[in-house]
Amino acid sequence: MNYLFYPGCALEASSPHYYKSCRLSCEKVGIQLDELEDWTCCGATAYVGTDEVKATAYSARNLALAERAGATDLVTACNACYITLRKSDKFFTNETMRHDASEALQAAGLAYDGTVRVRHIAEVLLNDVGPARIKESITTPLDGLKVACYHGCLLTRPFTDIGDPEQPDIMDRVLAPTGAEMVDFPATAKCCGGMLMTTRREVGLALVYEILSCARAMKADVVAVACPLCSVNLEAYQDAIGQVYDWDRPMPIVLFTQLLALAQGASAEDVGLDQCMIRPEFLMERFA
Amino acid sequence: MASPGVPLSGELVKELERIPDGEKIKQCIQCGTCSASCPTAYAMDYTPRAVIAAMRAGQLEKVLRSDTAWLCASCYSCTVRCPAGIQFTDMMYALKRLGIKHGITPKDDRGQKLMATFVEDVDESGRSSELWLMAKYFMRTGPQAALRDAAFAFNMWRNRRLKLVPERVKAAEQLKAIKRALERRQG
Repeated sequence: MNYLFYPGCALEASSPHYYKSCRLSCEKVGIQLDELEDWTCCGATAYVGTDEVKATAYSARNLALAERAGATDLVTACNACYITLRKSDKFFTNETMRHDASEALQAAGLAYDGTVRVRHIAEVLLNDVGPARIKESITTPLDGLKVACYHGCLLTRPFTDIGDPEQPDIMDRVLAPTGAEMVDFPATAKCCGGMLMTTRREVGLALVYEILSCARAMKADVVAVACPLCSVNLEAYQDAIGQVYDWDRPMPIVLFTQLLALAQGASAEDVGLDQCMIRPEFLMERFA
Repeated sequence: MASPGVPLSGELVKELERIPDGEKIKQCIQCGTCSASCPTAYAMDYTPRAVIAAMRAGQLEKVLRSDTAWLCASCYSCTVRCPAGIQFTDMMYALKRLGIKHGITPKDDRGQKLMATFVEDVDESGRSSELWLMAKYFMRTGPQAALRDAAFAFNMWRNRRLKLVPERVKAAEQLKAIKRALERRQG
């Protein structure tokens, strides 16, 4: 089965191991990701703070391309791309916005009729593939591994139709067939701070510390994420957190698709475990 | 100091009319669920609930001079919990736009600078380059932060997670056409 895929800027630059492991784990369950040709930045959570119509038109440009390519679904692996593209699609249901954004798209020779469903790869794996088929693809189970699945904010907020907005369990259900233990993780949908880590460091550090210390309290070996931005915020500032809070034993952060692909027979190198900023040494040895 | 007062309140409501459920901002009952749900409200001068109170009192200019909107991390906790269905996160975005439109600089303008840099990047190349975004942002906010993050950049590079040459897609031309069309319309 083929899906049209929107990687987004972060998968191209800061998270190539996410893109790689996404493709790998999808292939093992019969899914091929075809990259949307000529895609542009979704605008993330920043552009809309400058110009809402332009932000919607820019982002809907990608939806228009997907529509023109005949796709019903456009799949992304980044929570921020997911929410931004979905919001643009929703904004097209407002008459004034649709009119203004359509006029702008027209200048680029494009139109969007609102027929594309924006989806996140975690939800595709859960709902289209399903735990049973995932289970069939598992060859090297992750027995004994304790995983805290961190969903972040934007996977189930503000759109609550794919999972609970407070305690989502999408990733838990995707990864459960790997044989790893999914620990209870009350902080699963707490905010990682997004861009505040850059603009207001002290606020960002407090948010991430809350998430990481919860994972530690639940005795997780590793935190799995489904977003390249959450990933960087959770792994890159643990030293800085240690300077402010009681945090001296770093917690490895991995993409959930890395764990899935490992359980499906891929090696540590295949999934780019060596690109994690805090290396999960125990996994690297086990899947060398 | 110009005091747009009540007009600013009207403008905020108007901004939200362009999005689905935006009009629900008029139905706030001041219950405070938004502020209690917000993970950064403790650092804000005006919590989300207080923003709507200020809007009703014609006092939004004070809010725009504060860091409130720029402390919103866009986590949507307020939005999904609000019993009146108010689109709080979009309200915060609208406040950012109003501040820029009226030339009101918040107390701490780092958020505004980062956003402006991001927008320039996307307008120019069609993509956001994390490395260049940070480099330009640091040039605008002073070297102190750059030094602080040098280790971060090195770590990213060491793990092959830093793209040195920014992507520039040919579709950037289409974005320019979209931009021109909108600018023409806005006069």
